[in-house]
Amino acid sequence: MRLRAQNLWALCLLVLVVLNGCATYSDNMREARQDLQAGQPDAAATSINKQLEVDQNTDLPGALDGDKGLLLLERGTLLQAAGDPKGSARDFMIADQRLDWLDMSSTAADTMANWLYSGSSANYRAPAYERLILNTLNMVNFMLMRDFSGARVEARRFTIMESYFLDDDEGPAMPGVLALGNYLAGVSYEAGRDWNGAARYYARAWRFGMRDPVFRTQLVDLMRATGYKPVEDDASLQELHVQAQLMGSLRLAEYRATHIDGVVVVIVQNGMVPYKEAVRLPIGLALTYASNNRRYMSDDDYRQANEVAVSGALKWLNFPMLTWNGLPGLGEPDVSIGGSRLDPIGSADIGREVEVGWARISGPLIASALTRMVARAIAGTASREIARAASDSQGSAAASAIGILAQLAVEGTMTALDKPDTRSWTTLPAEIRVFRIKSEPGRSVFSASVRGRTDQRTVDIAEQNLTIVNFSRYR
Amino acid sequence: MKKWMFVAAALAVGCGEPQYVRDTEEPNLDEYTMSLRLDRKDLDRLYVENADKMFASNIVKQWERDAATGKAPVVAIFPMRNETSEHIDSQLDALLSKIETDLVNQSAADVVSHENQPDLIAEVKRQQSEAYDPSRLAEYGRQLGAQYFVTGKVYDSAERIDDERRVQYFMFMQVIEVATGAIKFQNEAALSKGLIK
Repeated sequence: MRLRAQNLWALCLLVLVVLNGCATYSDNMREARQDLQAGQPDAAATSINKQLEVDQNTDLPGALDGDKGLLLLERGTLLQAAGDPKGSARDFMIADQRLDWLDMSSTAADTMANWLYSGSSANYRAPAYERLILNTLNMVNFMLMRDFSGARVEARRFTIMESYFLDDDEGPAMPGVLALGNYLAGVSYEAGRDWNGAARYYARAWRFGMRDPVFRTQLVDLMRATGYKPVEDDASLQELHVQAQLMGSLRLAEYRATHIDGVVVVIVQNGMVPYKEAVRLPIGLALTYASNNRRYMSDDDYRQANEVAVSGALKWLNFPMLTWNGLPGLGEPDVSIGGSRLDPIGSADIGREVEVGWARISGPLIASALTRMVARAIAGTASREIARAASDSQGSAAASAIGILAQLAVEGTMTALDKPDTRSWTTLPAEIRVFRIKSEPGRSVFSASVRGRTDQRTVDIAEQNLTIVNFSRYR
Repeated sequence: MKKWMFVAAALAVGCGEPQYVRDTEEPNLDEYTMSLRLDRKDLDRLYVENADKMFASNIVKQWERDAATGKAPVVAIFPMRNETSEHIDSQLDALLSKIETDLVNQSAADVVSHENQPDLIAEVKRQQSEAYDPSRLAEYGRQLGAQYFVTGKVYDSAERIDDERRVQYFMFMQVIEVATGAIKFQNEAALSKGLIK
């Protein structure tokens, strides 16, 4: 009998070791993150290919279930950094067709909790900022290939998602992403000679915070050339419109000569966004978060969660939190053409907006996780009562072992089973800067230095259109 | 040993693994809706509706009368503009050849082969919006020696609610007189595709 109890102990420990030993998404991405930090996006893509269970960057997984859609986003980012916009665009487009997103407005708390703890078995659901950045980065891909029609398709896809999230009141959390996406959409329309479309997108970029004086001059000139009148109820935009009217009309040919022909738009992607790691959130802190998000938790669930916390049966909640551990700090990119340094006309602090975006949805997620935990803790308590009854009647070592198992069901196994979902788009840049310069048509060398590492591009500058350059290798 | 191999092969076939097929093996292959993008069946539907109207239009009858007097007009085909939120440029390019074939076979016009004008077509695609500016049209017309352009655009109204999507496609087809920029024929056809749960 004693031997049987020992076996049960061993079984418990084995179960816990196995459950705790399962690597999370963030764990699996560590190698790719390190390769990218080392300036080796090709090696990072190879690491992703192993997870996608394919041999080459051109291969696609058979199905896009579980993590696969997200892994395609990661590989697309790495291929863009490695200078393969065609491969990157393909991965982004496929992921875009299949990617669901995290909709907090119409989702029940138990469904959210299931997403949170279902690990890689459930399809990944992207938060709002990731959906918008996907189309933004794909605009860059198409413009790098000089396929401005394709870039405008991405711009329109961006707009659909933007209106969806703005309707859902998520827009204010990501002004940088919205400004950048609208600005690049404006560039793609400008390159396709759709001046009114360009003015509409640029006006939105201005509205969401892109306020550089050089950009202001360009937008006023575009309003003068097109007669565009902002539809947005935004005082600063109306001010630009008044300025354009006072200055009088401008011929489109003059606008083109000044702002399009021989102009280069340089995009520099720098740093890496915070990723998620599983942490043990003290139960008291979790309750505080939940109390601010009571919409996602019934009164009964909240009361029971408090009781469980006070009883000391549970001390923490396994939850995914953002971390910058092991990531490089943001460098100050030094961009130049022919030795002349350029100043940015805009930037998006993606890392900050990832934090803000996660903070906005983590409260409801904690509330739903607590609800789930309470239901399971109550089930665990019932098991403990059964074990106590068995012990009273048998007084045996076996009953003690059952008691141990029941206790673990509450304090250990449940925690081990609750592996929080640490999935997120980890290879995104923490910051994207935009530079714009008019140059002599012909071949020029652009360089971007980030923390002492310099990347160079030899660029054929178009005489009668915009030229796009991207730097995202060195983070 | 042979028996073991047979069982293994039978199991492999019976596992429900995806397999490649052609339309002769799976007659309904073209009937399935695989995505929200326009497929050949969609394009055929949109095109046929527009083309039927165009070939019955007054301008095509005018071309027949002109041809009868020995003055068959020269007609060029411009790329159709993709103003949708889906990547359907390659499908629209495929449609160009179809329009060209039908114009050659069903109208009295002399048709400029778009494959012989790759640089100009590429330029038109790059500067799509401006290409439809009347002054630009005259310039392109001179380069091609064309009196008329057949062209069009596809645009959409796309919506997403939760995980459901709907894309309503509209295809315009136009015949434009190069000298004046006047639209001599225009028709619109529509269809919708969706992802519903």
